[in-house]
Amino acid sequence: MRTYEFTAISAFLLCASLSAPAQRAEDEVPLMRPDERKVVDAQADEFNKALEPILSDAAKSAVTIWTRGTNKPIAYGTVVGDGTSILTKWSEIERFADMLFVNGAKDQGAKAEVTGVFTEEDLVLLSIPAEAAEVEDLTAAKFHLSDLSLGRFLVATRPDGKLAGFGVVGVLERNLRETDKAHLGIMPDFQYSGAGIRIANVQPEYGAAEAGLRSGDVILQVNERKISGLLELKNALSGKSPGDKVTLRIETAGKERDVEVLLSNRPVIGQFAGGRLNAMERMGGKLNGIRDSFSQVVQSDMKIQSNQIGGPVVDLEGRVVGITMARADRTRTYIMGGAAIEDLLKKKSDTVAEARTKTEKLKAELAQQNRAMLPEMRRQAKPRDLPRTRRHLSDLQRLLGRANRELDDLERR
Amino acid sequence: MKIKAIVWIMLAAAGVARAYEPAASVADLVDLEKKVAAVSAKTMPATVALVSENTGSSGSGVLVSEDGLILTAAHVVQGMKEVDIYFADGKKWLGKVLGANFSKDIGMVKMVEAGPWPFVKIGESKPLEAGDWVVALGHSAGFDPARTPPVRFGRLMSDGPGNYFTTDCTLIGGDSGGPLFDLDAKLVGINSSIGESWKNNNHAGVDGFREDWDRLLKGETWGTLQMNPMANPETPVLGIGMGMNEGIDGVLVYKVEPNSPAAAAGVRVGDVIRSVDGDRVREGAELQEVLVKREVGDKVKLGIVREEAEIEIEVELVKREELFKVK
Repeated sequence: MRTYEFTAISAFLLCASLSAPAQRAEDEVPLMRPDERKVVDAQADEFNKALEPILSDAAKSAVTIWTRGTNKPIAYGTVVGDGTSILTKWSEIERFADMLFVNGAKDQGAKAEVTGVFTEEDLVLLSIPAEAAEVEDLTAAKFHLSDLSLGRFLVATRPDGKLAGFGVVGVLERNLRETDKAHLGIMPDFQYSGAGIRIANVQPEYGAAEAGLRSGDVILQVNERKISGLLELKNALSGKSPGDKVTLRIETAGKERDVEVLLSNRPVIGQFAGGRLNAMERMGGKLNGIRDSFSQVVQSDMKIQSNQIGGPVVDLEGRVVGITMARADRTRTYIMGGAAIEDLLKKKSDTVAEARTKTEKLKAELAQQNRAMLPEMRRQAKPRDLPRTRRHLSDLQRLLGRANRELDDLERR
Repeated sequence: MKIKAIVWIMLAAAGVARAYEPAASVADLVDLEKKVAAVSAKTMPATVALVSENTGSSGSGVLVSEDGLILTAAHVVQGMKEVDIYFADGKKWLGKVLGANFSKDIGMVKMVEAGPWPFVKIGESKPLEAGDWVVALGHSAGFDPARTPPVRFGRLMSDGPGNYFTTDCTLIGGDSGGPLFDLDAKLVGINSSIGESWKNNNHAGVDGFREDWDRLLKGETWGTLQMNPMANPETPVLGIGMGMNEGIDGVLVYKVEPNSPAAAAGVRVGDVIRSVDGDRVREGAELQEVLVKREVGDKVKLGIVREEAEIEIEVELVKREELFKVK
């Protein structure tokens, strides 16, 4: 758990106070001068045009996915296998699984059937008739197993060969899945301020409990590494995998001893991010529902709509290097690399019924964990928070006052 | 009239001339990509997370000298004497908080250990203009041992207000205090705040540090964190009070502050300001918008109507706080 300190409220204030003098609702960047707008608009046009030649091949592997009664696609997809299979984002199409249509550049619309679900990665395989694939001139993506190193350009394409999103590799490929990370099975005592970490609770059936650790014990060291804070404990465990053993130096009532603990998989934990961060994540557009549970993804700053996820991503040579997996927040889009996709496609997939059962089970587990852990995780307000909380309150009051005045002004006109 | 024409041509030229590296062909893009990759690799080791063990708050910073001087945002080190410094490899060190200027949202921290530390070179922020390519780093959403600080690539959207500028390098909580680089891997800005749009990410220009360097190093703390640039103590002003502009085409000067540059240059109560450097201003809000994008020390030519005569007066802008200082 972290506590976030940032200028969300100030930033909201910034918007409110700056939009006031000019009253230009379309202003995304307040106080931008006309000459600046001219430069950046021309630059964007030039940039997008420069990208188009590299998208023409990959565009034949990109499709949009639709259901009845919507005027926008619900997701993008990538053509794989023999050219009649479409890989796309499961959670975005799940509700419409019986009524799916796929469009290529020709917009002819082919009915698609679900053939298998990769539930853990939130991906699904659809199948369309071979004639439809031919009419739309679709070709299966040939995944290029390039190294996605920091700063590499990544470009998502639309079926018509226009740009869907651009970004760079921001973080190298990693596993985001909390349950694949090593877990001790303790809840720390947040009120404790001495050396090491004092255990508030031991979770039954996890390594710490099995090794005989109790509430009130203090963890001083993990293997050779001294621990003085929670983040350090997290760092010490970050290189370890479930199944590894670590030696903890434990202090109980003034006596020290070494205890060997078997690390287990971390239990499913819901998103405990602070309210302010949640608000900031959404500043800048809609997000995908499933966005943080992938086992092998690259993080990019790619700006892309949440309903354009699932399509191919190319490098500057026009080679398909992966597919978009989720728009995760204002700063993050996740991309699964070609090698990981090819491995996944070789695995056995779930049926729709199996996938739904798995999801229900996960949700139930999550709800139970939330119920069990929320009281522990909730941060208690402390006297030292008082000035900051007051400041936030006065910021909000000023903002409210301003909004009221603006409303009054508008009503008077 | 002559001046107006020159100004107009200069503006037109700025619209056509391109200062930023071109991105008109795939070859251009390949060049850009190489530079972004090089900047990421070069600057990552010097980019750190600043975490307060007391409050749990987390921001970012960047080392700019071998002996461990860290530049960050003022609001990241607000109320702290010491701060934990985390490097991308997860190692923790101790930092001593030096000074902070909240008006510019800039702050300094010094590593307690002597070093040598990895560091980046300091560039210049004043020459930056719309379209310039930039790379942002920072520990988004707090320090995470499972990943390095995410790299973001974008360009300058708008220069100003004052020492601040805006880019489309998307930032979020935890990025505050993190570095912004030009394509030569030189530090040009410090991440400060965001607005609703993903194109609205605000940075403090690195030149702001130069002006305040000695005071920050000595550990002075001053200024106010004021996200409304019109109310910022360091915002550039003329030193006039504006009257109601009902029925007036321009800005009526209602008051002239005695110690202001407007007074020194001969602006009088009753004057109507109609243009700034040849650009028309029809009302007070427009005048404020124009001025807030200028910098302290800039000279502006005011087109003024006084007793039915058109005159021009040049005024050097000062910080708002200078107006009311007792000398």
